[in-house]
Amino acid sequence: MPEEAKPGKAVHVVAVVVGLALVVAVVWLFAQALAASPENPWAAFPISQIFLGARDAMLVIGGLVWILGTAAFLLELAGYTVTREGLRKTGMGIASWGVVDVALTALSAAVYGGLLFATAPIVLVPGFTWLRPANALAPLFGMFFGIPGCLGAAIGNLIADILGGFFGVGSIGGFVGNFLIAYLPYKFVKDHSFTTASSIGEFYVWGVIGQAIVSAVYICWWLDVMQAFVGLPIFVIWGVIAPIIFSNNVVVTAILSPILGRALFPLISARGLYWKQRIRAG
Amino acid sequence: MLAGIYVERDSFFHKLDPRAKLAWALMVLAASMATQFNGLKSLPVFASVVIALAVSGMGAGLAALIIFNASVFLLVTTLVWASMYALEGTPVLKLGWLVLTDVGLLVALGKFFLIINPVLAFVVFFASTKPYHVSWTLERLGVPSKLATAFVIAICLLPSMVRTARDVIDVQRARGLALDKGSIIERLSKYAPILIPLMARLIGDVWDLGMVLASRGVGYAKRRTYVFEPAWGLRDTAFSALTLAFYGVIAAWGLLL
Amino acid sequence: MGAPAVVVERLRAKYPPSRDWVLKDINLEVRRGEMLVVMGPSGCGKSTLLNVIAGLMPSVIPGVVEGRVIVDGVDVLAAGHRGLVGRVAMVYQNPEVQVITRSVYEELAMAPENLGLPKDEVVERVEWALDVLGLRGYEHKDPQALSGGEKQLIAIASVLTMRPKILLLDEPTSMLDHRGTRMVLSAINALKKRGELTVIVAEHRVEWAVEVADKVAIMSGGRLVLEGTPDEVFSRVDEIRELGVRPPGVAEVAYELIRRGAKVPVPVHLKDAVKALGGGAP
Repeated sequence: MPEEAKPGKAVHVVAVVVGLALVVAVVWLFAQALAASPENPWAAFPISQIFLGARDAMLVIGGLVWILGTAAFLLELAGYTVTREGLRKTGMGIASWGVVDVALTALSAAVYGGLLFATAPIVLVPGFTWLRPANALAPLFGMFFGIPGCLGAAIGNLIADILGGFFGVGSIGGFVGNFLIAYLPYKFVKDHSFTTASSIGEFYVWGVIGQAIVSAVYICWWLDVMQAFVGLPIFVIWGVIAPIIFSNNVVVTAILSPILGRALFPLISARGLYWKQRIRAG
Repeated sequence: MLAGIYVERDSFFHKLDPRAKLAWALMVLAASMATQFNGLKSLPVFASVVIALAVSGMGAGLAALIIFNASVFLLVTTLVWASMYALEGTPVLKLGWLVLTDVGLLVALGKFFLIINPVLAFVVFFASTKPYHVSWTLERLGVPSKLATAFVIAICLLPSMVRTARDVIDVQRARGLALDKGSIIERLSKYAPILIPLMARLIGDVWDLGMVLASRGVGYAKRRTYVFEPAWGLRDTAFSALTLAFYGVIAAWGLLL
Repeated sequence: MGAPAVVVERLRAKYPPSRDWVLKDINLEVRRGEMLVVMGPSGCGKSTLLNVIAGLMPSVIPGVVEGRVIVDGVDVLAAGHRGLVGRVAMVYQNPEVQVITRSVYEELAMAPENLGLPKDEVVERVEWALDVLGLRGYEHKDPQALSGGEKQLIAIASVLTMRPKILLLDEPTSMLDHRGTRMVLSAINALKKRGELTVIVAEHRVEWAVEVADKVAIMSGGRLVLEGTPDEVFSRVDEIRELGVRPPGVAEVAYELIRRGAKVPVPVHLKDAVKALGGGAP
């Protein structure tokens, strides 16, 4: 394998540094907001202010994200993906699934849903803000297992909603939103091994920052548009839920996913479960 | 607390066709939407869902537990709604900068029920519908058979997965892992020794489960047979007609008056 | 006499990306209605052999397979596992992964339902399997809550509803306690006595194999090194010890006596040992 070009490597290192800086910033900003306004930290939390202040723009951007995200979801399930050259068959659509794909989806969903349920979240504001360590698995499911893993993350989140007694109209947005958390790094990260600077850097771009923005916007746009069905006020959707989803996904995936990915990729490829191995074998 | 997981009971709801139950849950949602601006009109919907929880054998107390678990979230949400209507109606309560009027409180209560009623209705649906029938319902709704099968297998494997997760956490705690100590970053990193063994189990089980599914002919036929296909009966028709009338009247009351 | 149930000629198999062959030049024939017990140390290729005969390798488990494998008249390497549905059924080591529903009846009905068979036929097959394995009364139980032995019985019953002609069992008792082992081995004995099935079992329990097997095959290093009736195979005590297989206890005792100068035959069955020592039926 040719040595990475220095400018390319620098870009990836910068991505990692920016991602980690973002984590530190999110945690620090929330701590500041909590200290300044303990009874209503959201009013003082800058990320809430950003989401709320840009609500009109969010509706337009969110609509676009929604259309693209849903289209990607449906196309991938049908076995197609969008490339620079147009639509291409992937061989990973549900119609092409073998028994191992069904097993991967079922077990990913059971592990993800079970972990979301069984692991106590790290509580920041009781009943309102917490970090869910199990979320670190979602991008890895996509990167390692492909579309079956992406669907496993989506179904797992849905199951966690059902088990926790939170299933409702909003869960539909959560289903595709969690699919996208796994899908973005699967689609755009080229090296899934977590052993090179480019692998980790690309992960920070797509698996930390990219998926956090897209999933927060996707889920909250759905909640906003479905307000009449869901009953959440705009302030809570864009001022509380969007920052929670964004912050949780950034912090958890930036810290935990690379550790897990580095440890698990060799095990997964040794068992022949990495999606690129199975597509080749298929 | 596994609120939405199927529980074997011999209740009225367990005997209903899944389609009748799904229609009921959607009617609860529709009635809650129609009455979202007046919580008093939504109260009968809430009462009906609590009765459904009791009748299905889950216990009315489950509603209290679900509401308690999300209490802070629900409280803040309803206060936000109330404060948005601070200029309408007669002030009833002043909490610092927050002014609660009678209109605001009614809207807040209506929004509270809009959030909680469908959640409880779907708890009843999933707790009283076998995963087998959930799979059948999903396929009838057009979900591909392989995806419905994966969903149902995931639900069936979930209790054992939750048990394994808790066992791993206990073992690691016994080895000195303190999950609740340290900074946020340290506490997150401590989850690695929990998540890695669980993923290792997943990796170990995938090929075995795949071969088991192959042995059971999964994906073999274009259309799977369902031996226990639900049969729509008089009970389902009567229940659906009654609930349509009940929630229809409430929805009309909410929208028109 | 009819065609044999299983014919294996010059079989070689390996897993990618390894260069080493896991199975080397295997030649084997199993007659209809026969029970073959395959033995050998861990890693000798027993599971791989069964997976090839079941058509799972290479069509589900990636691998390279060369040679000729004919099962119930079907060329396995051409037809794959889908071509063997209804002809071959396989039961695995781990009972936990083989129960995937919430009721025993659903578990047994799953396979014929997946074949798209009419409801009446599904019910008939499930009722038959419940009777054959003595599982009446278990219909409505949750298989997840049963013991390991019971789960393994359910697993056997759930593939019997496919009405296979050949049943393969890959170390079905290795993860069971003593009671569970007895349950499963009794069930296999009962199936064998019915004479409707050809059974191939990978097992370590020598005393059981001696009593029930028509033929025993011992593998080592991917090769089939010894094959014959239990008497023929297990009387060659030194040879099978070197291959990592424990001989029957009575044969070991006789061999030790011979080594110390006694002139005794080498019995394989307990009843032959009793006779040789001058005993008789009580």
